[in-house]
Amino acid sequence: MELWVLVVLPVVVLLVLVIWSYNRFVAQLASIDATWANIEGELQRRHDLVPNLVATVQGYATHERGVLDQVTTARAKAIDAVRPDVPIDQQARAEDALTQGLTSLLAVTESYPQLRSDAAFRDLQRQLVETEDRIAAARRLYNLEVAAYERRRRAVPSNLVAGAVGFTARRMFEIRDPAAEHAPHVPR
Amino acid sequence: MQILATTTGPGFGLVLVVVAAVLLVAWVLKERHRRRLQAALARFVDRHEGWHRQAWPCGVQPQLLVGRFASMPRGDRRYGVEHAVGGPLELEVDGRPTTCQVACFQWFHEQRRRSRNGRGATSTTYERRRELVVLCQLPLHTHRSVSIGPESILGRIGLTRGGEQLESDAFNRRFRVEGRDRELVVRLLDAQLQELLVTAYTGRSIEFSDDLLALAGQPSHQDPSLTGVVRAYPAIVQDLTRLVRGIPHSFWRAMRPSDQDAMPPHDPYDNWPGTPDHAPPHARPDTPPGPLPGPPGHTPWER
Repeated sequence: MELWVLVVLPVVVLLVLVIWSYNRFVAQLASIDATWANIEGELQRRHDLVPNLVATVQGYATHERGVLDQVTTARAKAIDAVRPDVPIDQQARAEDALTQGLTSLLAVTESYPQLRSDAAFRDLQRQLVETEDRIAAARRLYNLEVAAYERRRRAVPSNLVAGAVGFTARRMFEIRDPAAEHAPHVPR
Repeated sequence: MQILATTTGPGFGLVLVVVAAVLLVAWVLKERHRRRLQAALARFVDRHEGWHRQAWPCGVQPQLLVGRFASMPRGDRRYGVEHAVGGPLELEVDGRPTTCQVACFQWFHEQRRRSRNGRGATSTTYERRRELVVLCQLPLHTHRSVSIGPESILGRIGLTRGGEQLESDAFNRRFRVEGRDRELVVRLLDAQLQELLVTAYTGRSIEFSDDLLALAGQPSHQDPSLTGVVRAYPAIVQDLTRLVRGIPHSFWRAMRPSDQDAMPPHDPYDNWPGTPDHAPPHARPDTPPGPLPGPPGHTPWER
């Protein structure tokens, strides 16, 4: 075998591996961004449901001003946190505050049987639980993508490519799973 | 002439008698085993109200099952259902007792084997392979399929990982999950169900296809009071009950029919998936309540 082949062949193989590794990182980042967009879409849907829910509760539970204000404020903060410059942890905490507010709101409704039997309220509650189920699933998919990306970013030899190109760390999105708390109680 | 004399001598007659005796003993043993199996099936059926022998598990023809589930392959020649029994069983679906149609059976298929002898001539034989299955007709349609099966040896040591990867590494090492709808997969396999599968269902396969759930593989224990394949039936029914109970609420909620066709007038959760006497909305009209037509316990189908 000629000398130039012995020199060039390993370089070509190495180059192919680097390109392959780089492209996989790019694909993973695209996947992370897509799953994140999915989460944002579902969070947006939840934010949109809250005013209707508050208005419906307000019609029956006029004396629960404190809880209603808490939910409205938490929603405003959660919407404000949906900005690219807001760290993911901060956004997660804002969503947790909204979840907590909604949990309190739904707890309050237990004292109003007429409200509980209102078709509009029940429909909103069902929509809320379904949206929160989708948020939970989207969040897990996002975190799985991030975990796979981080595993490659730190493992040898792909960490060399990640370091050279500057692929930065991605944070997981950890929030409380509210669907279980907000689902209507099922009588046994 | 010498050969003729030898074959017609008293030795040949003795050989014939021995062969006949062996065949007779084999037939007697087979018949005894068959009768014991029938008795065991009858005893098992008697334990469950409304259960009976079935030709088609849950009223589904084997032609509609073959290839739809990885645990029910077509094979190279014949395939079919053996020793099928089934009937209504109360399962906990989405936290509520729900009566579902369940069937236990043995799926068989014949695999071709070609062998070559010393003179270069090839011969073909068919090996019959069997898989223990419990099939459940769910009170809803998933419209999508999810398959959870044992991971390959290479996958177990982390060399090749196919399918969906989930949070638990122990789960990923033991199971290969296939499903087109990733969201449905993560809704189904929450942390608790992953843990349950790792601890109690390793080596077995669980498949959802539309309204059917198939759990295949040998259970960890058997009922010694029964015979043959029926010894495993009580355990697989128990495993199915435990599995369905472990399926998370969010999965059932995702499967719930849309508002237009199923929303009851008062409580959206009151009438779904159904009380024990609530028939599933998709119950096949052609599923007879009693034993199904066809030869009992054995329905071979040829390609």
